Amino acid sequence: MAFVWVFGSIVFRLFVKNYLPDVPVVTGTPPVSVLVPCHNEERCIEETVRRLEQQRYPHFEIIAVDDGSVDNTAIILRRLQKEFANLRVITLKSNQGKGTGLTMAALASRSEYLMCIDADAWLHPDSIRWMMWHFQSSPRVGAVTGSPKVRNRSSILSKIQVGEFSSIIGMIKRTQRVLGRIYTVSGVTVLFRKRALMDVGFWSNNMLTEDVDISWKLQVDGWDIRYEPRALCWILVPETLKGIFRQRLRWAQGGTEVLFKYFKSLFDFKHRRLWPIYLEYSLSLLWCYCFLLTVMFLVAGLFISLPPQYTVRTLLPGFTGLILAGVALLQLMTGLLLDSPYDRSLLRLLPWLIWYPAVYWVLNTVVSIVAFPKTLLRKRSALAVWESPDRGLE
Amino acid sequence: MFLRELEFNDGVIINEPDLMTKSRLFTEWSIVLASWALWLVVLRPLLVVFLWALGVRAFYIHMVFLEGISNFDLFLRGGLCVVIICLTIAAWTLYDRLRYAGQYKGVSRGLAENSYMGAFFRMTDQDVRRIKQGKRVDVYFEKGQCICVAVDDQEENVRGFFAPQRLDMHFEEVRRFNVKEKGEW
Repeated sequence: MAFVWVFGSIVFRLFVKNYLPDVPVVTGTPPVSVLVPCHNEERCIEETVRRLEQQRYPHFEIIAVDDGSVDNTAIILRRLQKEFANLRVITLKSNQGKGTGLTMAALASRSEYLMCIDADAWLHPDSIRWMMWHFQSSPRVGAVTGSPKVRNRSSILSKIQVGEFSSIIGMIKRTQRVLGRIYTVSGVTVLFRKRALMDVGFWSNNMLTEDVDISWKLQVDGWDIRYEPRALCWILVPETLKGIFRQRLRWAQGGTEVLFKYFKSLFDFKHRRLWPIYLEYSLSLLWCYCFLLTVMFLVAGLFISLPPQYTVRTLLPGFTGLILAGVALLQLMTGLLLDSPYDRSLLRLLPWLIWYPAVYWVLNTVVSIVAFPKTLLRKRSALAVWESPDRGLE
Repeated sequence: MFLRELEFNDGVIINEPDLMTKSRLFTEWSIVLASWALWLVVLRPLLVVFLWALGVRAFYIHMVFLEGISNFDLFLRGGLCVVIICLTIAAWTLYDRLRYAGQYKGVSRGLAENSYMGAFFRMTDQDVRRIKQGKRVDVYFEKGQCICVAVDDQEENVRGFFAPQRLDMHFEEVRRFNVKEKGEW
């Protein structure tokens, strides 16, 4: 798959026609509603709103959705409303989850275009303009996803995630855009067409990853989702192992839920462009369980005598380690070179980013193995409500 | 534009190693050093080949004596896979360009009108307009998948329906009100 991402990214960079050299001029500047769902965000919501007010887009409103917060989020939002005339506040009286919060905000929004960001995300001043251009280029565009960049880089875990967000995830989205369908928008920075959301019934309230679910809903309904690497959004990532594990477990469970939910739609030939994404995710999951089987054989071999074809002497790669290391390096360097124009400090992190493949593969393997049975056992009707995320070192 | 703006002193990047305890710093650096050592061991054959550019003997030892060239079919199959991958993506992109280039794909399905929104949430047009005009909106979730929306401390609330796990009930209401639902592409 590394070669798929590398080659696809290069094709995207060289041949995808919607590549403009400068910030595009948006005809008519239609109004945009920026939706900021929050739950107990007293630490970061004020800074996020102040940063949003610096957007270089002329017509926008900010809708903050206070979803059952028990801290001072509501008080801070009321104070900010006195300062900023374009700030509106929706309060959900009980914790309903991000999906429901966004749906209620969509109901209250005055604009046809809905920009959804997280409460701790800082949007680049030109992000909306970079994204709006896509909607005006085709009426079939239902959503445009931006490019999240990691802000907190104090620890090695966060530095490794810089590599992941800045290169690998970007490469995957570029390739999927070339192939025609995207696995998921980045829920932290995405611009939707409200009509598209209405046609698919807005966000689900029982899916752990509402961004993956809405992406598949839109694409199954025939809408196009685009990726704009120049629409930057600065985010905070977990800096503890527990925090990363919880986050990745939720992502893996969400991905598996989507696999099950949209399985039947794949039998329709008009959804053939979703087949490669579905296949890639399924094969990755299968690989994780094959790895688990290998580990089990290794451990069993320490206690009992196994037939030669099942004997595993070591997990460390031998000669093939050279191939693995070379391919990983090629993938990482390609991603860094493609993304370095948007983040000057990226290449300085190379000594730490080199470990990204090893950490990513091991962590995501463990997470995928744990997530699959958890998803099977999870009640479908259970609401996906808020849990406090890890926002880095404090 | 991007290169000028994205500087560290812009206040966007957070890089404060002082926030970490000494033991964590020591542990992290130890891991980085040990991991680099492991990385170099894995890459050693490649490093040897590059360092000894004219080292035919080194090449022979690694590629023949240490089973490298005997896996020639591995390289052949691997290379073939890479070529097939690249050709597939290139062919797919070319097909898209030849098939769809210059075509204005699809007609617009229209905007998200108040009538459609109202039918979806079982509210009237006026209700939707009231909610859109509100600066402070409170939403209560009641039994029977009902929602109650209070707008700007007004006395009269808006009542609606919200059942995201039963979208068929929402769209049935849309059809009942004879609102133009989805267009065709």
